[in-house]
Amino acid sequence: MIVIVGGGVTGLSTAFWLARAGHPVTVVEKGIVGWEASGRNGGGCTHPYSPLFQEEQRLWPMMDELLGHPTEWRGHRLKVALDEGQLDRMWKSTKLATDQGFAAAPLDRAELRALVPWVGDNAIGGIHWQYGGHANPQRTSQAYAWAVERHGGRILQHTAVRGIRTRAGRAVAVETSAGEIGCDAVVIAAGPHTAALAEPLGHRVPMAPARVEMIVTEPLPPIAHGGVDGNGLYGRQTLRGNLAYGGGPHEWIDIDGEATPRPVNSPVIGGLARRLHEMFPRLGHVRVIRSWGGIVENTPDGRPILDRLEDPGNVVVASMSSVGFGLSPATGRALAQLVTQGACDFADLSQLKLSRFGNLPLDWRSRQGWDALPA
Amino acid sequence: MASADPTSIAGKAFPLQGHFDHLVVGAGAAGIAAARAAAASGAKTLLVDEHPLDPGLFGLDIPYLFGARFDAGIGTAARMEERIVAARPGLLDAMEEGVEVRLGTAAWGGFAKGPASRVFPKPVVGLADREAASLVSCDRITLALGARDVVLPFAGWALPGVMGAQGFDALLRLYGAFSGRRVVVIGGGAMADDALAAARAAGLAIAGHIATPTSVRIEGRDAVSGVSWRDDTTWQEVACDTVVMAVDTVPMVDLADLLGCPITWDAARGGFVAAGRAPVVVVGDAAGTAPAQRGAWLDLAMAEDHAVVCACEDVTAGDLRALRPPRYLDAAGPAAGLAALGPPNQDQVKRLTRAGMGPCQGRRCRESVHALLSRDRPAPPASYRAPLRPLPLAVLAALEEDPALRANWTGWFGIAAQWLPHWDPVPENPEFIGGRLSGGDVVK
Repeated sequence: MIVIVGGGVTGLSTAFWLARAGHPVTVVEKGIVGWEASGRNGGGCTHPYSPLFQEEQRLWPMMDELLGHPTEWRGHRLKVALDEGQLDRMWKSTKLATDQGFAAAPLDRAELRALVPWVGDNAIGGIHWQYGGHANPQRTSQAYAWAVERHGGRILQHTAVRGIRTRAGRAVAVETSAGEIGCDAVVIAAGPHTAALAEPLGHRVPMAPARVEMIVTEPLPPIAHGGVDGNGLYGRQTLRGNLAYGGGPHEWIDIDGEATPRPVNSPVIGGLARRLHEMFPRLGHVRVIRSWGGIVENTPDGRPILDRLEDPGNVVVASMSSVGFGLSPATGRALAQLVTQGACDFADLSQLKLSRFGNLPLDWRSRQGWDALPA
Repeated sequence: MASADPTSIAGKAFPLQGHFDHLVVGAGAAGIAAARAAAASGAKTLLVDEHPLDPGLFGLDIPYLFGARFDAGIGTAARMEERIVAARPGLLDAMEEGVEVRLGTAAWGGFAKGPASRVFPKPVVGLADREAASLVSCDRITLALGARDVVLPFAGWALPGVMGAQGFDALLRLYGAFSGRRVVVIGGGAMADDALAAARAAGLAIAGHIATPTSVRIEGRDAVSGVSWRDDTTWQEVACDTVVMAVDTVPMVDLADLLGCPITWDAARGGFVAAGRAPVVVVGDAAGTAPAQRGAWLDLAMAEDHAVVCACEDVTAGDLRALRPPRYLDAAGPAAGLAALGPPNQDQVKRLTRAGMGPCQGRRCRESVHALLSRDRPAPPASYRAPLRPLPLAVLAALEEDPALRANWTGWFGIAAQWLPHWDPVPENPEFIGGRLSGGDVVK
């Protein structure tokens, strides 16, 4: 039995790949699957700086079929630049993908407007990424969960993990609010709670939780490539037609206990509306109808930890450091290999080991200015 | 300790358009009384009310189910303001007693200190008129938010001419802009009696009164032309241009929820009710309405799978039971339907079916979906999120912004190494190539 701690996209995808290969898996989730940052994010599927990028791009077009439920995945991304500085940074990011063989094309204002009728005269141009894409986070998270069950895996919702029992250098059972589950391997993929779950095993997994937020408008007629963003925003037009965008300041927080606090919004949503209105000046009349927030964790260098521990040797620790949704098809497959083979055969994860933080000072959060605001 | 992460919320100000000792939201009888009492005790008091509404909100049935039976008069803000002052004489007294009164001002957000945010030591409320959003802070808040219409999703309910009792009352008595002539009232309690009395007093023809729960069909192609209902074994039909659903109302608890007040289910007080939590007090209908039996009516309305429950997103009772994805995905739900989820959660069902996700912000289907999910026990409340009223992008964008917020704005954190190849070690002094703004004032 392989126990996955955490029913977010990373844990669910890992469970999916394991169950699909015939391994017995149980996902233990303290709330509802995909309920936290996994189900409420920008839905981006474009991460060229990750060693999992090629696999991310290979897998997304197959996910609806693999999972048996729609993810709303659509390919391509469009970048809107309002000035040369933005365009310059976009091209630097683009180069990471084109260096790996993916295609991108510059767009002048007229070409951009032909694809995105909402842009104004303040746009200087953009880039068409003929790679990447976007999907619906909640639908995808749920699709993973149902696919796990279809392949014989078990999902325990509303069940909290209280500890991991070890014997002779191996995890032998996961203690939960619904009793103990014997195990042959454990994957800890519990987002901001991963550190607290790994700590009793003698491992410090450095991470800081933060609150981030997004806004969403009423639906507009869908455009050809809804994955359009820029001007300091990330986001997309959903398949339904709503514009969903995030960005701006995050709030570093502290988490006490096993619950994740309700991710409230702040007046930053006014700043989001301002940036969105600047990017699409023709849409001033379009109504904002909702906002949402999420709690994500970041490691000290902002990069994932995907590592199988040496002791206990059958425990894998996974944090995607706030960028987990889009990479999840590939991450889950890599983590499944870490569990079953001890190593990933399709991506170089050598830089993503926990040991890189071995010399990290205890007060690293303070040193990085990542402390929560005073109580 | 190093200085705070410049791309975080630390050190950013959120400019306020004033501080008040006491903010009262909602200028009905309870709100006016609370504001006058606060001013009498010497508190600097602000009383806001969203009426007169932006004309666009009538079409969205916000905050009540107006059902499109209104005339052009609602577009004249000054005249509507006069009508509101005339309808609520206590407003003039409040102004004379020193209360600052802002009509046509909606409270769309509430920001309070909690486990996930420590930005504001005192509660801050987001306000908006037709032009711009703004923030005020306050030491005490009284929420007199009133109650909202319960919509029965009988066939034809989304036709122009179907309204709730609150919407009917607002159009008839508050705005003087009701444009119907022949009315049928659905509902058997005091609310229905009030609607009938108001209709009579206004000289409207009362075409029918359906007092006890039964199956109803609202007839019409482009607008209401009549109502049919089952009377024992036969169907009756009358012609009318307006159907008033006067079965039940629910306390408005949206702003209370955002401000961190506990929301609990109490069937005897109208459903989900908010309890005040210092410094927030909840008064009037928002704290509980008279009990009415909407359950039997909702069961009848949603008995058949083709009943459209969420009109914004075209979600039927059958779609909800099957947990079917929206039609544009042309896909089936899980084999087990709703049961695939375990304990029902209305937000989760919303995200999967889109019921409640449309421009009316779920006002018209919230109670129906909740009833459908509460067969065994009341499902937990669906969440509320700002903006609590649909705000045009330009209005929300007009919220005053701290230059430091713009200067340090990034698309996603500000961790340069996050955006550079993860197969290489973290470089010395990496350049941030993620999303951010440009210009001389921007922190590099």
